[in-house]
Amino acid sequence: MRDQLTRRALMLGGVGAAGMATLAGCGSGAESEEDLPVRIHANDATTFQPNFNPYGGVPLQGASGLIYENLFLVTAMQPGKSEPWLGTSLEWNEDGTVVTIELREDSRFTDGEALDAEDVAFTFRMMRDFPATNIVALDVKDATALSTHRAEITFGSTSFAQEADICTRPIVPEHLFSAFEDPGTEQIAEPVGSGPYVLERFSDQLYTFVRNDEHWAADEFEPRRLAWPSFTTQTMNTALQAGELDWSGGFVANIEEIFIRSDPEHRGYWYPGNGTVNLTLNLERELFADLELRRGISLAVDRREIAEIAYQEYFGPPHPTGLPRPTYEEFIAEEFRDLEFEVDLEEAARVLDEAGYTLGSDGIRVAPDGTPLAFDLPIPSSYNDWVTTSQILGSQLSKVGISLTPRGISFEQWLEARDTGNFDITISTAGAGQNPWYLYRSMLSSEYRTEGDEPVVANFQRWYDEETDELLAAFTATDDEDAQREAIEGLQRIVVEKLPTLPIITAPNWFNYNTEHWTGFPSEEDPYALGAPVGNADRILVLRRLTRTTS
Amino acid sequence: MSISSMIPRSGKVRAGLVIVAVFVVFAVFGPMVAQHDPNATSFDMLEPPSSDHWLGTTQTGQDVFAQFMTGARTSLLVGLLAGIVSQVVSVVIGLIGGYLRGAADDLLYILTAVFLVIPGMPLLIVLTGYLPSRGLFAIAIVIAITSWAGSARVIRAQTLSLRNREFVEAARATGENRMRIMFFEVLPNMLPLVASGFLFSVIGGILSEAGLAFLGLGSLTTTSWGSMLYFAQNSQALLAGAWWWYVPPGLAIAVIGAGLALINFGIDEFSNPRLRTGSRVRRAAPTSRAAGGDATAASAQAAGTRTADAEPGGAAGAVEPDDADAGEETAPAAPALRGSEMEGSPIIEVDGLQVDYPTAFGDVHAVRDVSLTLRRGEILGLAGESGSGKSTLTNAITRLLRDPARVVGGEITYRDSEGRGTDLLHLEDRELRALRWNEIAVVFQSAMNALNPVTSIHAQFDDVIRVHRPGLSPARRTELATEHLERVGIDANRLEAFPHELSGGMKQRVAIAIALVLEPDVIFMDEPTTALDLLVQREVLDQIVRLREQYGFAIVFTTHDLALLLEISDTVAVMRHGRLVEYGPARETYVDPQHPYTRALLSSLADLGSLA
Amino acid sequence: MRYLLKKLGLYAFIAWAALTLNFLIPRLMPGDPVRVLIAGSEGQIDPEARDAIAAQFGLTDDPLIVQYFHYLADLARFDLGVSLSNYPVPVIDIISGAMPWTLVLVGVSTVISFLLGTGLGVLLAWRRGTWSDHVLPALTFLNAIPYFWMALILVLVLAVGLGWFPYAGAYDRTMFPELSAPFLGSVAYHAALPALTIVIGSFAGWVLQMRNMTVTILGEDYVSMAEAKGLPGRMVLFGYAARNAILPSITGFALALGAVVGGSMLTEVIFNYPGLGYTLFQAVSAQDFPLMQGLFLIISLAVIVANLIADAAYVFLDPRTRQGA
Repeated sequence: MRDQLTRRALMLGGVGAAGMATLAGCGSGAESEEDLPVRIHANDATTFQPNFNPYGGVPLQGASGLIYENLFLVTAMQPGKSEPWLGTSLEWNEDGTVVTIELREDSRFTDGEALDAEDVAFTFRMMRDFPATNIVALDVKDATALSTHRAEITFGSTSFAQEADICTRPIVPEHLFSAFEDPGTEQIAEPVGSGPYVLERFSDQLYTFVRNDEHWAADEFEPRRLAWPSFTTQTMNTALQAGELDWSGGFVANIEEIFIRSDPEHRGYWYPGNGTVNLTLNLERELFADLELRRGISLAVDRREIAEIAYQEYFGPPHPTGLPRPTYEEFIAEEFRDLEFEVDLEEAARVLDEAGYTLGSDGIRVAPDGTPLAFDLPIPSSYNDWVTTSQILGSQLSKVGISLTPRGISFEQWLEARDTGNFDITISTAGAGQNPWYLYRSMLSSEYRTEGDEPVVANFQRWYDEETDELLAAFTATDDEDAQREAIEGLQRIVVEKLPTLPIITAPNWFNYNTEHWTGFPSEEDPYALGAPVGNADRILVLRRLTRTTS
Repeated sequence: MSISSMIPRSGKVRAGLVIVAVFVVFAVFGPMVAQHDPNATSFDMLEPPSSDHWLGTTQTGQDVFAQFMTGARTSLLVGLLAGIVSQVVSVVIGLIGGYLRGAADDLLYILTAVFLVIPGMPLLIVLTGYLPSRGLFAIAIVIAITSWAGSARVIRAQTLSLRNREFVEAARATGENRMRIMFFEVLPNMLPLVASGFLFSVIGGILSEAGLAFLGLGSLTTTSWGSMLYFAQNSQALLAGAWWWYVPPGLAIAVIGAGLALINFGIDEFSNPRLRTGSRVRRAAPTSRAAGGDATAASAQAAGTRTADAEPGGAAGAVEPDDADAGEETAPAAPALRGSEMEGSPIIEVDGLQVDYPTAFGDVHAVRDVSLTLRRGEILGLAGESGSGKSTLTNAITRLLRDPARVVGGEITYRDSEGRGTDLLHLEDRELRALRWNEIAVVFQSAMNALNPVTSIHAQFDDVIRVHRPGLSPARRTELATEHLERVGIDANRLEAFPHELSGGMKQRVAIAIALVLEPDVIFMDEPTTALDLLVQREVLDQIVRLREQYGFAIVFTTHDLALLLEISDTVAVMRHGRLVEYGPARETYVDPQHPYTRALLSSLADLGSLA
Repeated sequence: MRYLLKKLGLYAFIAWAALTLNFLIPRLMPGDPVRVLIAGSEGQIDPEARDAIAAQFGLTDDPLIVQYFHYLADLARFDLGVSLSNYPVPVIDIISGAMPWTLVLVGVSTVISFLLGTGLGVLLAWRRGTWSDHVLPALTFLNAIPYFWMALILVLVLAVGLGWFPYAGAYDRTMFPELSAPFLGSVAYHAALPALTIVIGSFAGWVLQMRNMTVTILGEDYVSMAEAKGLPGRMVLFGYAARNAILPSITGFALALGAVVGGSMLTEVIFNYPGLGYTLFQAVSAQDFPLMQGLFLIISLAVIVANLIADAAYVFLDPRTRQGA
């Protein structure tokens, strides 16, 4: 479970966003009487190492966004929209290779230096010069300060689609970072940022932030202190039960029993979809090139059962387009709006029969070329929810004559298998990113194709299709919303009709809250941001809305 | 050996065997009996035990009972496999190193040391972390790699001690090749050790597998007890109160571990009978507080620390119970008891003493109706062959009898200088201790073992003086000690020496000096010179006699050296099969032995020319 | 003295062996640690970035022997590399943060367990043939209980159920470390339950071993002589019997330390106690190879040092070792 949080945390933290978001009004409540901190569980660790460098390795949560700020605020819950933060406006040139950003004039670093275009330009040049810091793979050619508060960034290729990434790169002080030999390896224990919060105290089990009252938005944040205690998945559960956390992410088994029951009035959770987990068939194997086989398999999988048993019905089954709900619900094409995955064993059998997969005497189907439909399903044995899922899949598919044997291997080995294509069937995740283009790109784009045995880093099913690539390119070539929507709908059609990959689970955004002391968290009724405390922009949106609970 | 004698008597071992048998049954038949497939999920999630699910269900609706039984199979298999591999490696390395010695041994010793010192669990975790596949076999091998060293060390030590035994020498002499000797001569003699090591390895294997699986480092697609606990922990079963999920596996591991350990107990007790507990031991009356040894099987110790013992054959040799009096004479001759001629007042009176050893085959009568009187200043020599009961007699008098021996009849009285009698057999602890050493001192058979190996000679003088003469200053105590050391002919500067720094003869003299330090009235000496070489024997004896003249204490000494006996004793007592067959003044007995046995002894001595 | 020097030499060699083993294991095993690190970004990394990261971790293609010398040179400078899961924090920092906790917890509990266990063992041997024999099966059972299961039960009953003890951490999560009474009190309070687990889990082994050894020794002649000397029971038991019986336990202590380290690792994991054991576990879960290596090395060296100390104690206690062989 630990792995889940880390995966998702990294996924959410590292992927950028495109588009702008309009935000609901912010609350500016009265000053709190007590100096109660908001207790946040966002790091999955027992001990903390003091590193707040957003570009160096694995920084502690809170460094990005709260200490080192974003240019604009975006959230996947409102794709395409952004709110000005450090930046006041953003403009693209015709072909999406140059972006010009206007900055506000009253940002200061905590050491007194002003934050200006030089810092912005430096940050992006740093990403160009030190590839290890460029984890969102922005194709930066150059970045310059046109004037004190106007910066220009030039890209080597059309980059409309990655606007969200650009918006959420934390801006670092040029006067400090330029002294580092390699900013990507620098451990920063005492961060000097420009953000609304600063590091107050650090110890290996707890670090606290205190509000920077000099900040231009200080009065928008009611919580004066933030406490980040160290918890792992194990101890988090007990802490949640004891009411020691206000805001956390992470999977909680039996959440009703363990968490909600003690205080149903204040405790809750919300798990909107934030990606999709796919049954990944290796399309380079001839067998799986047959659409009918894929169709037959898909018809036999009961997604509802998986969601109920493996995930305790915390969320529903995925949508056939792969778009996570409710996050990208608005993007679902009209024609697919009412579409759901349906289990139909008879239909599955019929499809397979017609396609020539005859049922053998041992209950296993055999392909026309003689190969029996018996496959191994390698999965990392540490992902115990996938272990359960694969057991369920095995028994489901056996009903239509396909044998799927889960094989638990080390995470290492699984990565190797997945990336080098050394598997028939496996399970893999595609993150939602900041808009559906990100999702489809990582699932379907040929740009990830490699030679021979070279490992791939995305599109693990190895779907290489011209039409798909054209649609992806079409999206990124324009910033016209309608054109973009058309492209996304085209991609949806491909996912639904051609079944390049089979979504089986909605990858959720894990978010648990306790409103005993603080109110204002996002929820199903008020989905203004994603609730997991690991998204650097979503975090700001949430913190701005938190007020003390008046009982 | 009949079948019934192979069934262990010890309750502990039986319990252990039953436990292990039960689990083996679980492992073999359990999964067949289970109603559900252990991996089959269902919608009955986290349900307590019911008729449909005998041990309830897991978070994903899987049947805990089915998982438990399958888990039994996995855990036991891994444990067994790891145990076998580990033990095989241990045996090979220990045996080869211990037997071949030289460079091979040095190399293997170092290898063993490396794996012994490097901590097992971290190594296990690291190796597993790098393993490409976490199948049962791989896990078992890795566990074996981290656990073979302990057993190897023990086996090597045992091989070292066995390789110098005669049977191995004999095998070498007949030209057997080394491999054969190692595996067919030496190894069979270490079977209890190997068996015990094997069981430990199995326990270790089960625990290690459980630990690894619990940490999530094992193969989670194979059900084992450890993986059950892992999933239970991850689903917060504890917080959710699902005891039916996490209690059975953990408890099972503990129980089978205990079962195997109990069997190990049995093996331990079999090879070291001193450790036995239970009914046999309890029947012996607690005549001695420090109940420890069992004289019947002192020689059966696998470690072989005591090779020579006065009574190994003692009770075991005289195994024939009461009625058969050895088939040498059809009718035993009447004992010739003439009593002592000495003039001193009696100091110890033994009257009709009977001492028995209860054994599994019936009671052994080690001392049968013995009566004698020791007078002040008298030297009484107690002679007899091995197993005649002489040591038992003296032990009874000094109240040093070991379990299971017990006095079943008769009286022993100690008379002080005014003639007041004290019933030695029923004396209270405190009074007994007061009497000890002050009035009755003991010199043990081989001072090799009678001196505390880890404290200095000085300390061993000091403690007894301090206990019995509390008023003396430390300086005075040291003076006393030095005095007595010199009196037995040992230089005073050896006072701070440790026993292992002295020769055999010196040790014996030290023991005598310690015995004398409080100027007791009686000294019991059990085979005082047997372990010494001839010249030293002479010296020690001369000294004893001289000291006796100086101090006037009585001496009771046992020996099977009749010549010696006759030379220095005033009175002689001959024992055979627990009875006194001859008892009278030394000279008379020598000149005119009454009992046929005594006559036989003397004549054989004469033949050998041992009599001066 | 010679004995001690010989042992020192042996341990130096073993330390070298541990170093080398540590070096070889990851390089002999299959796998690519960099892949693991970038896997978290789920496909959004540039191939160039990947190579840059690999270079940062010193994963080069030099021949093995060159890598080995670099490794040794780094060790001499106390450079154990950089942690992958806590990048870019150096491994040595993480280890020195975790070490004091383990030393305190494991060190203290082991000593307590040893003293308690051997003391009880002597008592049981002395009182043999009476009630003490019935305790043996119970102790055997106790010895066989898996550490971690017992820890789980203890946590459940004492920490979560009754709330008498904290369930995790080395000190209260609302406190910052400082040299003050409340902080130290919190540390002691948080260490209590893990220490209890370790003690309960390991003392039974000592008891049984000491009991068996003492029982055997009680049959020795020098014990009889001590009795014959009229020494009070306690003197005989401690000065003569226990004093000799404890020697194998001291040797065994050093060896058993490895087992205690292992068991305490599991205990640390359950209690989320931030010691070396828990850190190793996390390192393995995160496939953080540099950290794994560093920890394994430190743990091995610590055990070697403990062995040395135990051997020194042995020399002190057993005069027979003071002469050459």
